Amino acid sequence: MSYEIIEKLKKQIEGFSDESKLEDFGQVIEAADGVVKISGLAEAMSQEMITIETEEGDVKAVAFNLEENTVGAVALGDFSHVKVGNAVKPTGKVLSVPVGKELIGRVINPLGEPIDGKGQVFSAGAKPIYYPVERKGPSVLVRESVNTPLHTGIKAIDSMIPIGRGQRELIIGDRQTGKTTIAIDTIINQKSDVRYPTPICIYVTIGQKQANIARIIKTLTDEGAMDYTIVVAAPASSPAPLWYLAPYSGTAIGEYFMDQGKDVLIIYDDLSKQAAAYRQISLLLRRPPGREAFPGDIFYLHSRLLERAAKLNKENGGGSLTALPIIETQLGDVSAYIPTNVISITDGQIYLESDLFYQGVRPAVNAGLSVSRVGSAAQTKAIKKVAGRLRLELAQFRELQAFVQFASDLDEATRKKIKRGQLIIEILKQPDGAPITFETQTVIFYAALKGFLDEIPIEKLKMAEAKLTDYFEKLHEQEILGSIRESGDLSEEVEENLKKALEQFLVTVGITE
Amino acid sequence: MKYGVHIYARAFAEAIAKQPEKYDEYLKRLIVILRRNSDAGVAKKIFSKARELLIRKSGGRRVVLESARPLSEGDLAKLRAEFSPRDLIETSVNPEILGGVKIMIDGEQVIDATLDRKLKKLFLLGI
Repeated sequence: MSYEIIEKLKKQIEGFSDESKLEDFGQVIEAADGVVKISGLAEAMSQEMITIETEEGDVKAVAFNLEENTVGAVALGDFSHVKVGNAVKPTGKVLSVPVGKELIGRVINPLGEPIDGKGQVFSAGAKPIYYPVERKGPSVLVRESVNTPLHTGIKAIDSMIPIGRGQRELIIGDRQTGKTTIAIDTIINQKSDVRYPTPICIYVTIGQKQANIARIIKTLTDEGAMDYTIVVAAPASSPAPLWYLAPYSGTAIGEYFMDQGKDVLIIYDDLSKQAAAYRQISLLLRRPPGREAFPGDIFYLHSRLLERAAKLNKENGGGSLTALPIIETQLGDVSAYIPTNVISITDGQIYLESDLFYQGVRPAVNAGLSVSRVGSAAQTKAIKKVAGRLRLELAQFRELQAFVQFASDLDEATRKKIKRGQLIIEILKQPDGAPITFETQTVIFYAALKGFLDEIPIEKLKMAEAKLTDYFEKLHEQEILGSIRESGDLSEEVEENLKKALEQFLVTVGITE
Repeated sequence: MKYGVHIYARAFAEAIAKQPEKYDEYLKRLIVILRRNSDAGVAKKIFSKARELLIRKSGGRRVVLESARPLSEGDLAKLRAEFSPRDLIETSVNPEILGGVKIMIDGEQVIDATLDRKLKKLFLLGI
């Protein structure tokens, strides 16, 4: 053994060549709060990776501000070792991350380094492909319109705010309203959506507590979702530049899979924190502040990121990148700077309200303020057919809601509408971590909207829904659920069977005679 | 600071380049201005930068030779011969580089032939 080591060392020493050559170089002239000012580096590119040679080892940094005589850079590693006078070397490469299918199931930081303790991502001999962190979104010519659904498994969303593959749908709401839960449930649901290929899911977490991240990873692992998921984590303890970079790194990884013709779902949790990190970096780099002290290019920060979500046409592989950015509002204020920016960039939003949440309506989706601008084109026909009237009925109910207390004094038609509204609200409730397949959703919505559940008291509806699901899964798996799943549609024949089965169900559970 | 080092240096260098015979007079005036602006603390940096700009204007480069110990006359002459007579050659001593020499040109390019770097590179190989 020792002989082998000696031989190896001997070979390495013999083969050690070190020719000194002319290299570009710079020097740190100012260092504060993770930001360094460098003299020299006249040839540096914007977003170029540079190395600061400190006494404790090299620290990576990115060139941000290219000024007349200096370069402003932000450190990505341990900043405490950086001192004035340290030598700085350019790498000649713009910031990029290694990509490949080896990343699936792993937890990495925004630089592509593993942080899950499972060792190196790429084996020693492998030469991973590097994708630049910043890249222009696909052009008009290579795109096609959104046409394939991406089921979230959440009834309120799949029925009223459908999401298509390649869409950008914002999840917006106050703290503690269930934004992350929607995102996680969507990831979990992907494995049960067998009608379409399972997308690669990328969960980008920005500025969250490590304990929260650990909990989310555990949930995903327990549900078997880590088999197709990559977590890009910039936890609260990491420096602001990593918070800023995390969404771009995640997208670069997503683009690799999209270029391979695969579907990708990426979740940015959340972009308000990323904007705050970018504000910090910009202010430290002395860029002029604008509204709410954000720099002038804050809109471009998010627009260039979300423009990278796309559905590619067949000639270009047909892959897609669906983005679900999350924005946290303060006291429900959607008219703040960042929320309005991101609302205008995305193709719709899912608005979660804390009032609804505390009333027990969970997921707390406000159907009136939530929209999906392109998703309806991709909605599965079966759900479209049965839940088409859902939004309208809910809106009518909201108008009449004020009269609920006086229900006994109202006419029959109004009373019915109120009853139907309450039933819909009850049906749309769903616990977290329990996404429902679209075929089951079709059956539930059919039963609710065709009046099959009208006779059931509201407080017993949850139980009835569970029984209904169970009944269909056990007795009608093949001819009803199976055929909806395979065709994605509710044919007349299946509808007839469904009707009969529902009548039978009501008799069996003893609701009607 | 009222103005940056670069701005002072550029103004001074450009004035001298136009009328080199007025060097002494301009220098005095610059010192007065620096005092008036309370910027005299960075005078050394300004002169060094101005000198660099003047050398660059005349087609030369500012070369800094860094060595672990003071260079002998012979070594210095040998190294000087490698550069153009228009270049400004400065020397500095930095024991941390252990041995060899580091040549910095215009603060932007470097030829690092120091023992310190060689050792670091050797250790990076995992030896």
